[in-house]
Amino acid sequence: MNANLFYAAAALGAVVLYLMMEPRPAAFRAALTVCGLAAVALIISAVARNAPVPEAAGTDPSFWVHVMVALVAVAGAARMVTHPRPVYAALYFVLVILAVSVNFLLLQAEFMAFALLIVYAGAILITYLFVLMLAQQSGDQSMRGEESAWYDRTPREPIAALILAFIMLSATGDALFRRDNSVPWLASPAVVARANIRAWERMEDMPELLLRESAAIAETAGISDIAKLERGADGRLISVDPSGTTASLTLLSTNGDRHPITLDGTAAPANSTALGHALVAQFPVSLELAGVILLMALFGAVVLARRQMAMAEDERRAAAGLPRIDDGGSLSRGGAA
Amino acid sequence: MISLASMGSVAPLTPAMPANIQVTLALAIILFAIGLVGFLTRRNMILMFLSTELMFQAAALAFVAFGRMWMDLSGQLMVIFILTVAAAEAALALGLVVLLYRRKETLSSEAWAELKE
Repeated sequence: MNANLFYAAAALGAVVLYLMMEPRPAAFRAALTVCGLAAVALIISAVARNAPVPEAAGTDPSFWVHVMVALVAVAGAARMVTHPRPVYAALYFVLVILAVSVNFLLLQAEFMAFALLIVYAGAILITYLFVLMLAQQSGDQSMRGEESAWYDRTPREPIAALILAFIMLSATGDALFRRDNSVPWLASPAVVARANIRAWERMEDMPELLLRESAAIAETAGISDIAKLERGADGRLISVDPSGTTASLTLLSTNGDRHPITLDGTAAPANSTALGHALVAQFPVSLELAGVILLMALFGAVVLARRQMAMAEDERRAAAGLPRIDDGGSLSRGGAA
Repeated sequence: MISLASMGSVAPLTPAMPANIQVTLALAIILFAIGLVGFLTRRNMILMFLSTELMFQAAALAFVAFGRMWMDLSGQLMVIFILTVAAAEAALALGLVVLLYRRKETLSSEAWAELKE
């Protein structure tokens, strides 16, 4: 039932997207916007009603923020792929990025939310806008007095593309309705316990942070002469209860008094701290490879830019009646220098 | 016995609400489908690459949602690598597009249709 509603709403969305591809009068555009948002709302309601304990969702404010963000993101994305003017399309993509980063914040991925804003909206999109404006400033002969070029106004094979996208959306959306009941969608005690243990293992690797934070807690309890953390018999600072619900550590005062402290699931490193630790401890090779990829991209961009400069130079020389520079030769000389 | 209920710089690990995860995953697949439509229907080479960036966003959203569901940071770490690849792709792709634009004075991908022969 919910799955059929999902397919019907996806088909309605595809039709709306098809009608958005050509420039339309304002009243028609408003009607399309309403239909498109209704299609997205139907998809969301079909999916949310299929989630475990759907009645809890309606009373939770974070759920409605999720819905709102989803509507903004889909509206921005639809306008981005249909807008006849490329610069506006890029700006609508910024709207999508804003919505996605709000979604990251809601999913407790604070570091990624701001990294997305800074790297995508701040760097990548500005590069796109630069290239778009660079390519359009010179009065493209394909514009012919219109406000955008013909190739930005006419979609290529829209019906085939929409059918393909509808099939893909239905196939992937199907997975949301064929959920295996053994999968702990409602984070089960085992999942929570594993997450707790991981967090405490991270804190074990940050003894200074652990000492500072636990000394601050001890101070609120009237103990101010904390010297260090006591290591257990196994050499670890934090001893984890096998159930994964609690852990404990012991603080040593300067006069040798021992102060045991109990940790529960709320004692975990903050998102950016944990992410930095996980990046270095879990994926060190991937981190190095990411650096290599960026370096290669840098080299590639330099090589491409150099060839462009050589070609522009060639054109100027040809216009002045001078002999052309040998392209390959200048490249290899440039590379050596 | 002192309980460490609220440390200064710590964030609580709370289980996610399943409906929120479901809505985020639905948003991810919708964004991916729209990005696919954009890549196939757009004729402007820059906007074709921009549509692939939209698909990157959808993948990142799904990674973060699954990471939240399992209360694991690996999903967010994958997004860091997605950002890296997207940045590298943007630099190279835009360099190539400018190169192609200099040759034909148009951004239309149809101008390069002879390459398929």
